Amino acid sequence: MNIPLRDRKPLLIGLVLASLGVGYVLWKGIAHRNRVVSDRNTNVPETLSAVLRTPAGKSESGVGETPQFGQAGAAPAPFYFVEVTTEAGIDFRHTDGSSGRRYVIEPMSASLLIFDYDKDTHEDIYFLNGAPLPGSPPGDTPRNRLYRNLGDWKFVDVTGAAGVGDPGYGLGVAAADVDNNGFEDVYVNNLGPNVFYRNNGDGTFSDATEECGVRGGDQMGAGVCFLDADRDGWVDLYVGNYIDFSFDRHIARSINGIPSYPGPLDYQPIPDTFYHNNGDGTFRDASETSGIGTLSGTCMGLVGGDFDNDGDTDIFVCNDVKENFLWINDGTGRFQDNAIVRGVAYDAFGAPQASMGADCGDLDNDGLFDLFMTSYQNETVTFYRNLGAFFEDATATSGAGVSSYSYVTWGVVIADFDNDGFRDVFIACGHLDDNVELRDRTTSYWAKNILLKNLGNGKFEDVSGRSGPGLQVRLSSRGAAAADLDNDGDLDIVVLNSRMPATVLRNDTPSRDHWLQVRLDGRASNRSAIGARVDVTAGDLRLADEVRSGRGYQSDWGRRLHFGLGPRTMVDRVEVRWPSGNRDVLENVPGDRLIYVVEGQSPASDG
Amino acid sequence: MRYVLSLFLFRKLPTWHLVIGTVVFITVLAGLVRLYRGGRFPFLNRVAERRVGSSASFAGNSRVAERFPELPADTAAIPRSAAAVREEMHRLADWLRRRFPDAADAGIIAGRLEYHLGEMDAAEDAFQSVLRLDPDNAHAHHGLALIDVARSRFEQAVPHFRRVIALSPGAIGPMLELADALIRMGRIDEAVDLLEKDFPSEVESVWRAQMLGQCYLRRGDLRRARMMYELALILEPDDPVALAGLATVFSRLQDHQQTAKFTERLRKVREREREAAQQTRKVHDDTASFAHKLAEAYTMAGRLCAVHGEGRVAERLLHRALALRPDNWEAHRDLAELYLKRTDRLNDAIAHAEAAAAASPSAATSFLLARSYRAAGRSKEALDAVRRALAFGERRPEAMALYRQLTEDREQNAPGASAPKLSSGSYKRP
Repeated sequence: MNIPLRDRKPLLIGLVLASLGVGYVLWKGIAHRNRVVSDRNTNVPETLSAVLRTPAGKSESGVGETPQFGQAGAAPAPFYFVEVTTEAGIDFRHTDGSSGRRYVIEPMSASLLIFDYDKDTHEDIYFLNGAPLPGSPPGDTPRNRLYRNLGDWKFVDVTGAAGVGDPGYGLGVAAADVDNNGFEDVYVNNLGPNVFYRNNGDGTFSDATEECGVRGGDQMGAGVCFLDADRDGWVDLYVGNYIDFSFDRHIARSINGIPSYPGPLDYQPIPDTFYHNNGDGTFRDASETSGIGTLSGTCMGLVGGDFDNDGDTDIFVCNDVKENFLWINDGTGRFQDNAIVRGVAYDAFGAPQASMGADCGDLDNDGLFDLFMTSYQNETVTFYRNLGAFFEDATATSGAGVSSYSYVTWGVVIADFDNDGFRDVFIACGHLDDNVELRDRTTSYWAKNILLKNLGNGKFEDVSGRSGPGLQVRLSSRGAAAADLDNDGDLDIVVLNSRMPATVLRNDTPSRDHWLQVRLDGRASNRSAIGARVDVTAGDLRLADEVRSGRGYQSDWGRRLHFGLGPRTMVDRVEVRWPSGNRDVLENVPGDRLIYVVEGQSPASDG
Repeated sequence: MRYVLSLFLFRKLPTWHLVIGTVVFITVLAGLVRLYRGGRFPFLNRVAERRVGSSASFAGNSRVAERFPELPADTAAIPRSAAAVREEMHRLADWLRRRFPDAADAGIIAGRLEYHLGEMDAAEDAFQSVLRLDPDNAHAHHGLALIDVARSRFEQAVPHFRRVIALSPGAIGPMLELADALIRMGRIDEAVDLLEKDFPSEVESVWRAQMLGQCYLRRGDLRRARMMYELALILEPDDPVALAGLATVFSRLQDHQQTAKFTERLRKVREREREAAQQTRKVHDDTASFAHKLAEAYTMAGRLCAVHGEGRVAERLLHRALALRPDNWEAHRDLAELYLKRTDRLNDAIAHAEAAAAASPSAATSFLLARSYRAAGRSKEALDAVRRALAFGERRPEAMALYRQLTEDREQNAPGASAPKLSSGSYKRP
């Protein structure tokens, strides 16, 4: 087709204009895309330390300046915690296996265990980890990690040597001496098959899941605890289950149009599992005969304790957006849920909470074990004060809940951090939705943890802003635990943070108060002495505690009992009530030391 | 394509046609790109959302990254449909502030939009700026109180709540919210005073009864606690909070039989609640319901513009409100009011008034419909509508006056016909 140039002019002009138009549109599109990519790159933190630490003295949310020792004019710091994770050699970093699909399980992981696996008097740390979920990119297989405490704030990763690097999706963990050989074994509650590690006593563990018969079903696990339900000297096992979940039943959900995680209401609740220890190295599923299997729940954290003070271990189970369970033990290993009657099923407003984790301890020094429970945003943490026959929700009157209202709270630790004789409360915070700020700026995915000081008059004060740089760390925390990691007489804190390195907080509180630590060794009772109660009398101070296994948010710690004595240097009387019914009494025990009590071997034993 | 090319190649069309065509082509193309980026193509949204896990599929929302620089970009991705609604909310709030810098109502709407967006700092600023214009603005105090509560600042919320109650004595909601805040702070006596003495006695509120039950339970006054929980059960027979409260009361009274009875009943109610919640949650994407909040804001903004004499703008805003939520009876009502002022749009006024009356049958919407019919000269329908309005039992003077007018008109038009008896009994309340 031969067309003169003059005739083709309109076509050429048109083509030029069209090209310009298309070019402009493409240019705008590419510029926009570049801006998004650039924004993404600048949002990635340059270094991990930038994420982990807020410089001391610098406030991010108006909490206030962090007081320094010797700082003139500053209010005295009630506690002083310093983060020492890196210095201690702990390089654990959590993964939740997420890919953006937002499976319900992702924010639930994970927890930790503090126990002395090698009996060297140094408390060791075992962290649970997530695992890659469908859709997540290929990479190294994350595993649970065990850090051996060498003392003097030196930890070494012994996961490989110990043989406890389970690659499953870890959710709950607890330890106890299942075979009464003197060394604590470990049970890990996973998404899918669970794992039981038998402690060989030589620094190694063996996977004894199958031979013990505690593999469990292919379920989504939660908290777990050991207890001697029938007081036969062998610890039994309570395994919490969250919901009836499978990947093919995943639900994508949004809040105000923003993608969000589904919740327990999107799935069916399921019963927990109870295993009875046969005493021969095996367990049998006793869920039905014990009564535990009769109710379906949405278990998250749980804690065992003698709530009705009748000498056996009961179990409090946090159910997510469902009434909690309080399994009252009749002393023979049969349980009945009594939560509504005893006033711990709901909060004071009569509403089921998104119960997360719970710890148990005598917060008002009346000899009865109270409960402290964490929950979701726009719910406060709940302080259930034990009045004997029932509990009362004392959250409001004690001032315990006000500061946590905006946050999702997970781990909870009841412990006397300043040795003044009144147990304080540490609460791990962090939202489950990593994009919550897009729809709600009253809260945040990364949040500072909360430390409540027990004022001793039935009230708590949030002193997080005045408790040292360790409390200024802003991450999305999950499980938390406390132990005297450096054997200096005060309790340190370890926190597992979702998708981030763990945080180890050294307690440097300048307290002149005294303390006593008690480690029990059962004989007629189970070797871990789980369920044993210790009453300490020092002058006018009366303290009580119990040996537990499994507490907080799906975590476990505290086999070594810790009592703050205040200014008292001498303990008049230490009385141990063993699960077997035996009693041991020690008198005139000097403070500031760790004592070992072996069942039936004290001067005033009636065992 | 060949046909189009041949038009130009063989010079069947003049050059200026080509220029105009190109400009139109570019404009349309640019518009399509803009619409795509704004998330206006539901099909493409669905495709993007199906690619869950690939955050890149949602990356078109640059404003998210701008506003939340501290968030990792891979988690700052949101579906385009939701991003579009949120963008529009921001734009409306910004526009209102610019357009009506001295109008308290504009600040209230902007504050509420920011609140819905979760932008609490911006919402707080908006409400504070309203208070600078009008220190006695109850809506602003209420907004600030709610923000304080959401931020765990209960102490700061209390004076704002008290101010709202002082400014709007009939407002029940803020009174109950204040009581809730007081209970959460442990100020039980103040909460009881508020709920017993200040609360209007003629109002029946389950929440009030629940809270009083809780307060008395905390005080150890089991008799009164029981009374209050029983009152709540009278008002709401399956109220789970009251059932839980009664189970607690009877357990403390050692009445095991009653405790077991209420416990069992409570379990069943909670189970039913859970099942109902699961049904509701089957709709996984709540973007549509979120857009309803935007529709509500558009309606309020439209009304504001109408008050300021900007009828055309108001019309546009109200139509946008209807596009977002077609059953928005308030937008229909306001549009009907707007069109009633224009003789050329009376049919539209009737259409919107009918829609408003259908979506929310009430004395007000029926009366509006009557006025619309009357304005259009449709007296018979107007009379029917005003009767419906009066049948709601609300004898408003203007409705009565209209009724008289209409009956007089009818008498004049049809001599000999008697005026119908004014009665609400002949019409069933819809």
